[in-house]
This record gives sequence, structure tokens and C-alpha cells, in this order.
Amino acid sequence: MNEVPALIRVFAYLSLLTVGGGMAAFPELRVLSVDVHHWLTYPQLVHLYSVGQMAPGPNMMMIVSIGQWVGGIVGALAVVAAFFGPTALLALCAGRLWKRLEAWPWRASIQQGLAPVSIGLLLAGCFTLAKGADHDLTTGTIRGFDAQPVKIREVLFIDTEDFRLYNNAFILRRRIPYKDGFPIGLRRSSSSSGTPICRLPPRPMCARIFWAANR
Amino acid sequence: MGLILATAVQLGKRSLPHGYDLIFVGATVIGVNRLHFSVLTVLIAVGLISILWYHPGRLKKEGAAKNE
Repeated sequence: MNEVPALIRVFAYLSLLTVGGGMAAFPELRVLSVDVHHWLTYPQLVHLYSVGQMAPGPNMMMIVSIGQWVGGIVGALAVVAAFFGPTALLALCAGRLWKRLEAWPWRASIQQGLAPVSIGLLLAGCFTLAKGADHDLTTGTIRGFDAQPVKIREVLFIDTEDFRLYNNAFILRRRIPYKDGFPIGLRRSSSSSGTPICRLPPRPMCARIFWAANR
Repeated sequence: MGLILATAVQLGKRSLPHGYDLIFVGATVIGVNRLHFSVLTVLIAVGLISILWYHPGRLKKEGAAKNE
């Protein structure tokens, strides 16, 4: 929920870059959502884009999934309004202005000049997508990310009541709460002497995370 | 990706009548993908140069040449 203002800011800005189609904003979407805000990983973004392509309707509807991922239903609605609202308004105003400027000599120059830029932005978006989707030249097809060997890492996070780690970090898949150093609901493993193995120091807000990463 | 490429090629065939348009296309792609400028910067910079390139005088000349 606390990410909703950032979502609105980012997607309102992105909407103004969609010259030549939504794909034109894809490189910036990648930078802002993956590198700057860390809302999702690059492979996840590519997967979401693929889902958007396969689903009926505009392919940039995949932004709804990002909004839902980051801020729930409110995030999804906010993203739709932020992404399509400013562009719709701009198109309305520009359309009216364009009619009035019919005799303006620079009108044709702007039309002619922006055409190669919009095609270039479309291609730039395509190349950005290709970097994440194609893994080698020989396949010509997209190899699933699941085909890569997945390394399981165990990461220990210390959560606090203020930070609410589980709600904020997108990488978390599974949280096991601990009580007195032992996972709640799991059997205690113990050595022959009866003392528990790998006993953790008691931390009431401690969470052990299994993080599957492709790196 | 294939779909987007096909769309880009189709659009390009229709809206890029001159060979030198490819320079602007290339500059945009290089600016975003190689030089990692923000899309807004590239849009403003290349767009401005491209619009100035197609200034009304040039379009008039081209129109006149076509009519001849």
C-alpha cells in the first residue's frame, strides 16, 4: 500500500513516453521497476510482458499485474489510471490542437520527424525485451527460466514490526516463523544426545527464508 | 518479440520513406540500448534533431521535386 504513490508516479511518467506504442516505454519500465524500485526481477518482467502479449487486449495491460504484485488491488487500479489517464488526456488535447494547426508549416515536420523516433523506440524496447528473453542465438525460441539450474539459497532475515519484511520484499516465497529458535509447526531435529541441531538464538520476529535464485 | 519486430518493420515500411530515416532510428536504439540514456532524453534529443531535419523548407523542396 505504501508503494502506491510511487507506482502512480512511475506509471504516469511512463505513459508520457509511449510514443509509438507502449513498447517504447519498456526500457524505462525496466529501469524503474527492476533497477530503481526493485519491484520485480527482470525475468519476472519479461514473463509478465509475455502474459500481456498472449492475453487479449492491449499488451501493456501487463502493467496491471505489476500494480497488483506491488500494491494489491489498489495498486492495480492506481497503475491503470496512472498509465492510461495522462496519455488519454494528452491525446485528447493534442488531437484538438492538431486540427487547429492544420495550416502551421511545422505540423508536417513534427509528424515526419517523430516517425523514425517512434520506430526507434519500438525497436529499443524490442531489444531490451530480447536481452531478457533470448538466451542464445541457436535456439530462436525462448527457453524457460525453469530450465536453468536453480540454486537454493537460505537467507536469514530479521524482521521488525515497523518494516514488515514479508509485505515489502518481493523475493520472499516462504516464511517460517520461529519460536524459541525453532520453526513453528515443524518437527525439531535433534542429535543422538537429545540436543537440537542448528539451534538458532531465540528471536521472536525471526524468519527463515528459502530463496530460489537463478544466479 | 517476433510480433513486435514484425510490427516495427511494417510501420517502418509505411512511415519511413527516406533512407536517412534509418539514422534516426539507429540513433534512438543506440541511445537507449547502448548508451543507456533515459527514454525521455533520447525522445527529446533525437526527436528535436529529426524535426529540425524535416524543417518546412526541406519538405517544400521535396514536395516540389516530387511534383516535377
